[in-house]
Amino acid sequence: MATMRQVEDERYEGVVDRRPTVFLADDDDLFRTVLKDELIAHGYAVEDVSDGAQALELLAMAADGLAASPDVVVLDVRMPGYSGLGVLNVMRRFAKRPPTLLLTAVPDTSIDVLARTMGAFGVLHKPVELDDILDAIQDAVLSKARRPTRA
Amino acid sequence: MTHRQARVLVVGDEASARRDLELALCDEGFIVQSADDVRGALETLAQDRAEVVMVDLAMGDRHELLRALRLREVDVATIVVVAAVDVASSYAAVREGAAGYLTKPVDSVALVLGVERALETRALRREINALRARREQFAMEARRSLRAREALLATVAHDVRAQLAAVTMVTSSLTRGDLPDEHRKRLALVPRAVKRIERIVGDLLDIGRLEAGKLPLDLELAHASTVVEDVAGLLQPIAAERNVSVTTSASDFEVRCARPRIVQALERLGSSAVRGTPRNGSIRLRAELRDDRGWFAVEGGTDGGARREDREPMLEQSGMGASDEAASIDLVIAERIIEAHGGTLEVERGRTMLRFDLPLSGPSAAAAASTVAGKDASAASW
Repeated sequence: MATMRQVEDERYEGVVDRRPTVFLADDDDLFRTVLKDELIAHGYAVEDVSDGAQALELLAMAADGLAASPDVVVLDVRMPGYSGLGVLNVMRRFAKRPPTLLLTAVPDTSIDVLARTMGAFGVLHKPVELDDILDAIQDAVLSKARRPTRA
Repeated sequence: MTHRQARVLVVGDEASARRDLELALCDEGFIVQSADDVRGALETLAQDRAEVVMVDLAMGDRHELLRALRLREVDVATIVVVAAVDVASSYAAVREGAAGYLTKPVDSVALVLGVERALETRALRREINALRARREQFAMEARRSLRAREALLATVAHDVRAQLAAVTMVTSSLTRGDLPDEHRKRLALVPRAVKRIERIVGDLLDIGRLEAGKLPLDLELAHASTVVEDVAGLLQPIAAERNVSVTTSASDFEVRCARPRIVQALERLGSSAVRGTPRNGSIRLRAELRDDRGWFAVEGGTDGGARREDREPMLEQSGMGASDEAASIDLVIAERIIEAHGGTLEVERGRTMLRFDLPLSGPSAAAAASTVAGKDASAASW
């Protein structure tokens, strides 16, 4: 289909040499499952969890080099365990931190400000169109690839 | 209670004067106690809870005693007793809260009347106090329940949005697949419904916030004609959809208000009017200066289910038509905003006119600080 975007997009050429990985944390099963399927259909590898504590544990392991680090992190703000903002806050202490997108059903723009001061790559307000999420994830992957990685 | 059961404490440092009063009170059937200094008086009061205290103004530390009694005027009423030639010295005490004064030598009728009046004063003070406490409690409960409702609305709004996100995700996912055009067309209706639900949820949140006093008003001077023009611009899409024309007229004045909120209120009234107007009809937005108040009006259309009287029950009913629901929420939001500005919304039936007036200088300090929730609190002093 003409509207279908694949990771094999020319924009990625020479920038990413494998399937980019998305780490997705959202407690809404329907939303997470459909988004995960779509991401896979668009050429991403996806690891997903349904609560903040689990998200934090896995991201901390990746930061410590005990697991592969994802290319992009997508966090829902309101989750059991840690909120997305809580996870983001802890991630600030990580030496290596993938670009992180926050998803929220709270319409308050103060979340945007807070998330950005905490270093979020972007904030998406639910309900959000699939295209917008795909665009944001693609931008995040590319930003990471362009940025010189910190040692 | 008849005065016969009333307890009266007599305080004075002259034993003979004290004894005269005690005897007179006993003759009238009062339960009498006595004390010859401040400490004794306060101790007796603490133990036996007299309803009335008689203070001989000739005593040395009368000021100290009167001051102490003022602090407990709800529990005990004070009568000052003074020599006839010194009657003027009682005025200050009465002005500062004593229930009355008696002149020496005290005759029995004056004594009984004086005590009865003091008892009445005490009863009234206690009643006022109890009512005040109840009112404060009601106001507190009202504020608490408004806040609780606001919090509940916020939670519900969040959950509804999260579910809408799932619906949107599934819909956009389906739209990408191979679909017959017919199905694709039907799927395209879902995002529109999602948008409408989002708007309703946002409206409910706004109402909750307005009522819980959580939407602060950032006041600025707004030019009436620019407000009207802005609203006309905002109404264009919905008016064009129904082929309704929107005209404006505004006189030259400024009003102190939270401009975006007033634009929102007028826009809600306007869209309610547009929805109630037949195709090819027209509505008019007007702003005028009348009696030092700014008048904003939306004229035209039929009232489209937006009748004020029907509004509250409509909100509570279930199974109402979608347009009625939208109209009533629009009116509630507009009304809350206007009231927070110290204005009033009027809805004229028949001719279908929605209008409101605002004080030009903005809401008064009290009105600005409060919405429904704050009103009771600001009236703390009678």
